[in-house]
Amino acid sequence: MRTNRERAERVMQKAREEKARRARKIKLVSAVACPLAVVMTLGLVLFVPYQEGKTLNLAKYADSEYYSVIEKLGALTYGEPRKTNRFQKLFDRLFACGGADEGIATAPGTNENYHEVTDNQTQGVIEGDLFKRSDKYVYYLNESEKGDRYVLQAYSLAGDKSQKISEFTIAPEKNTSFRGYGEDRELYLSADCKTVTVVASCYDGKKGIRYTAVIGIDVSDPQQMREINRSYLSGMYVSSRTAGDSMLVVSNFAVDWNPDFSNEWEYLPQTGSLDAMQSLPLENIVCPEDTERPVYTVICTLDTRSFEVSDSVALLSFSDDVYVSQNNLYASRSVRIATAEGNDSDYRDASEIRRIAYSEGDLEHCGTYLVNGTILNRYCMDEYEGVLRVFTTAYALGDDRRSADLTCFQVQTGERIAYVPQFAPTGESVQSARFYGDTAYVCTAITHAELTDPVFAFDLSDYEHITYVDTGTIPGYSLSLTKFSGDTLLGIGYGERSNVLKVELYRENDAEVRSVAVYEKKNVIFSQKYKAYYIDRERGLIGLGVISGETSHYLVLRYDGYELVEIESVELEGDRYFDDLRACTVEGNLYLFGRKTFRVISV
Amino acid sequence: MTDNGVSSYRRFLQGDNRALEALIQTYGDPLLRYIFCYVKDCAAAEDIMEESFAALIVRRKRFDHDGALKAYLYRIARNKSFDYLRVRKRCDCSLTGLEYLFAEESAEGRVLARERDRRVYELLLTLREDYRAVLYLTYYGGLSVEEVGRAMKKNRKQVYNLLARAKANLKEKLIKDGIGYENES
Repeated sequence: MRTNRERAERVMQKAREEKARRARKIKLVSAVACPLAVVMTLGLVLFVPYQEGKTLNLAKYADSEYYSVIEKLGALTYGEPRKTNRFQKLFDRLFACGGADEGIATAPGTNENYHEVTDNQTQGVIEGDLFKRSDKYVYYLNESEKGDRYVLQAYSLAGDKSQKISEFTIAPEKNTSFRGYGEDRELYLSADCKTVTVVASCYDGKKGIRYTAVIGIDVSDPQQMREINRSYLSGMYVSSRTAGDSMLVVSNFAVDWNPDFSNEWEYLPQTGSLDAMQSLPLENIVCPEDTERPVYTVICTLDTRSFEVSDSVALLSFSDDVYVSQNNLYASRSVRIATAEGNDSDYRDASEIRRIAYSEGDLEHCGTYLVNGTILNRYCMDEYEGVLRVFTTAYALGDDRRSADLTCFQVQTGERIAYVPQFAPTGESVQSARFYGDTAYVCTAITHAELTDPVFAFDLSDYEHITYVDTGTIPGYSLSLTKFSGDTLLGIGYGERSNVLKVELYRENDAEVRSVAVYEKKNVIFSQKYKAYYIDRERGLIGLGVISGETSHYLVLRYDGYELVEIESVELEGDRYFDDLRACTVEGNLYLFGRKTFRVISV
Repeated sequence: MTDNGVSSYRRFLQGDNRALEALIQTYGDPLLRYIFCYVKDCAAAEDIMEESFAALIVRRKRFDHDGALKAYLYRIARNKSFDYLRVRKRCDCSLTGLEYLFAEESAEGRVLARERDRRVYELLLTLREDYRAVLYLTYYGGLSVEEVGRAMKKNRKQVYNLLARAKANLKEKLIKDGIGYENES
């Protein structure tokens, strides 16, 4: 039996142990409870639902000059108030903003000549590209590593002594971001080679909408490039052209759900600088009766010297691409048309084409054409001597078999003057097309089952008696068609399988279109962007980037009149962005540009 | 019992560590025997007694009179005894170390020297747990009905009823054992 003193000592010892055990327990509970409390608080803040959206009440905007537009958009964009939470709102806006404008001192310019390096669809109508050149310099529009800004690079053209002589970083303005839109970027070089115009999409994180930015850069001294102007129009960049001193810019502006009609920037297309945007006048906005989507196709003309908007038109419809002829811009949208029998359950796909005439900076909405089927891209439309020609993939009326149609309209009157329906084998769709005056070439194929195609050549010299010949069914199909040297037609696309690159040359006669030379490369993927192909008709050269496994190469082929031969396979160290590769030949040297590539190859 | 227990406790709380010895001297042995009623193991009862005092001084509750302190202390002891029994499982083991409970003479407590009292205590230990507890707390611990109620988490009426049944049960055992039962004075 212990004494009381011994007991007291043991009690004290046990008390100390008990205190230590309690302290540890408190620490453990705190370590668990604190983050738990933070998580619970965050959960309450982020996930507690609240109602978003308003009940539709447009009467208060009745005095607005845009009330007719508001009414139409209200019907298209109104959604019942819905439950949302802050987490969802935060997740929807992941784009970073920021960036400051940069500028460098000016310098006197030099007189240089412009040389076109882009294979433009329409003669006299210049298309944007990733690179342009003058006598001495090539300007290449690159993207930063992080993708948050663009870098305009200037290279000298000096053979094996060529080098990058300077670069200029184009940063987004405050609250805007370029990140994620690099694929859209393009540039132009002015005829006097003193100004580069960059066109690209950007995102305004503050307003939550997209803009197309048009940025002017003084390159009169390529070593001291500086920004001289920046203007915006609502919507994501679609396409642009320059003709003379005028630039046509096309964007798609989508109106969000439940817009606040007291803020014009939420529902009206605007132009100008970010802090002084102006809404398009009401008379410039076209709202078809049967509009189904709250998306504008916005078309603006800008003066390439002052960058001021000369004119604008907004079509409340939708367009993936536009075709620009020397005098008109054609914007298309897909629609569904009830059959002639009026049966509501039977519809057919159709395309509505709207013509906007442009002249000396002015735009005029002129008319609408309706064609059966869907339009693949701008190369499927062409205006020649007052006639609009269109290739579509279409279903026969009352039938579910797919094929291809050719439709021709008088541009001025809108009258259909020719129609060649279902000329392709059943089940095939248009894969590529090209018009050259009285001749048109089109490739159709079934792409999901077997990779085969015929290539058709149409004689359009007499619209009352259109004739065509074809290659018959051959392996693979072309994604692009263009005239090449030696009076051949060049097709670049797939071989028998989707991992086979096929470059093929055709020649047509009265009876057929036949293949005259083929180059195939297996187990590769390749760029499908037409502008990424180097096509030198004079020298018979074709260039494009390919990726095979871990390696990427730039292939250069030559047509010697008999066959297509691979003459170069340039390894691109670590550059897998084959869509961004561009090449041009100057005085026997092939200059190759890319995201991480600059090479000079003697050809 | 005097109020020395509360005084000693207060002195201890004010920093006089020697007052703990006085506190243990006042309550130690009775508490030990109470715990023994449950665990029937002297070594375990000793440990539990020390742990009960340790818990008392860690929690540092304030008491204004002796009865409250005792009731609190006995409640702690009871709970710890149950914890011990839950872990070790109850066993009808022999009354290990019983003789040691009576071997020492506490400073102020009574020494159960007579064999008769020892036998009564032995019989008490054979009673049901709650009967043991109520009898011990009332007659050995010297707690009032209210204080017994606080220690055992029962109200007055429950304590009275339990006490009556416990005494009846013990009486039966005493008669069987041949020990005359005397009414409580």
